[in-house]
Amino acid sequence: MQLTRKQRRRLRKTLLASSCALLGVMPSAMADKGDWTFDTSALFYSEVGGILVLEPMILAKQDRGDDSYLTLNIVGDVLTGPTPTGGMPSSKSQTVTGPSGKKTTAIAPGQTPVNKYFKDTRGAVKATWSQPLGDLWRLDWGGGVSLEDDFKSLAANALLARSFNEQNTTLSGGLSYEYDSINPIGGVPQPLSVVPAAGGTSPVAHSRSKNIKGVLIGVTQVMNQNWLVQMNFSYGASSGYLNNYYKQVSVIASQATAQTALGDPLYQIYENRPSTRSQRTIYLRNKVYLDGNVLDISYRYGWDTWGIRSNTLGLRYRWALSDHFFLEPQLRYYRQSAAYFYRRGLLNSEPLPAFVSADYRLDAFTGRTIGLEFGTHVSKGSWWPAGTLTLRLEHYTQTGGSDPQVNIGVQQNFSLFPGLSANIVQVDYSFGF
Amino acid sequence: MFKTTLALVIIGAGSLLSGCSSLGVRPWQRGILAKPEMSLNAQPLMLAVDDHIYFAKEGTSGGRDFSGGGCGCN
Repeated sequence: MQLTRKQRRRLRKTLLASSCALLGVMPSAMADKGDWTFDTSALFYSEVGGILVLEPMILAKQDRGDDSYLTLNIVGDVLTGPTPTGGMPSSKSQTVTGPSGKKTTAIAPGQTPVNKYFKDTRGAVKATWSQPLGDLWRLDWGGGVSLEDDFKSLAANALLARSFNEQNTTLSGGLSYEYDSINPIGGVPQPLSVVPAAGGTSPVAHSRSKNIKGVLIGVTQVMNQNWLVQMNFSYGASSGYLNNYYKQVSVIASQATAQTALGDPLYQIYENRPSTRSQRTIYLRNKVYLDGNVLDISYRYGWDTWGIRSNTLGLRYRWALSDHFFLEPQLRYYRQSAAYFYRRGLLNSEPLPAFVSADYRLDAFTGRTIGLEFGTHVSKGSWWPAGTLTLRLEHYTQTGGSDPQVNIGVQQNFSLFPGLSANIVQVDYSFGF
Repeated sequence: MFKTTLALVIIGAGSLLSGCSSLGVRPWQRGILAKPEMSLNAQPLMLAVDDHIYFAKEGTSGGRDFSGGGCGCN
């Protein structure tokens, strides 16, 4: 009997699957040269009273034979909704004018100023080639492009890994480079200049740029048949224009006058950050197989030259309900200290500092995430391939500290950290041909 | 500071490497480690979304992979 090419391929896979089942090897190793696997996903991110993000993604991986793989990643972003300007609340109503100078947002007394018409779209493509170099070495290298309305990014990276001790230990080292071009709507504002009441930015340039050079050194170690450990050290050096061009800092009244209450914002200025920043992290992760379930526990310590120090703890437990269903509760705890130039606002009686930002992401705060993931294998249907469907629900909150220097007068009645409460829904379907 | 940290990491990795020679499994004992859910890159788009959200909302980013985010959100 003469077998067709498709039948031969199916037979080869069946035989390979049987061998793999005996050896306990993962099925993904059964892919033929030219075979594709796809991971598709959609993210819905919604902040209470804040932005809404819709992000579809595709990750396509092709087996190129000889243990080499091509991976393509395509991402789209649509982001819309109110975002904090960095300004402080007032006892009177305020008006926020967008960078284009056309749209205004009325802010009620006591409310944190936001730009209601914030909107951005992004498209990004990334490609990675992975290949073995002899029996013990592997090289991954690639690059990517990301385009937004006001931001363009080009990135490249390479990672070289070597196995030791019968492939129980892997040492890896890599370099990355990213070049970003920043084109704010309305131009680049003069740092520390007063924001015009009528909006607009009094631009000093059309665009600015920055670059980020990165180093990643990692070790993965098989501890035993059920336990895997990963440890990374990363270093990133950014230089260039690191300001967030839409962020402002309020200058508040240090004394009450006939027109202004103590603590009320008098005007806003554009923020200014140092033009260099070095960030380092140490990351440790354990994956442990516990009688059919998987415990994934990670810790990261980060520190940088802006004075931010952070601790991150992650915990996931993949609970196999059956061969086809799993539940995965997820917890994450993050805590950071403030950048040395972070100020919630400035007093009109103090001299202007060289660097200042009221961006809440540079403040001291605690982030907490609680999530639940549900996954199931799906059989082949009339128009969809067999695969794994995963749904994840998460809730992320941030609670932060205060700035005692500006917690005066009317500000004592308001919250000095805007706070964040976000709901995240992600649907994922992975399949192969 | 960077050179000191790098030297410590290299010394640590070297020690780990020599100390790890007694750890590990034989090739035929990798059945569980080869399960997709035991991969360090299982569910890559879930991990990528987490990295992206936290890059946009927090002061520290990266660690698991190369830092940076290719977006103007931070």
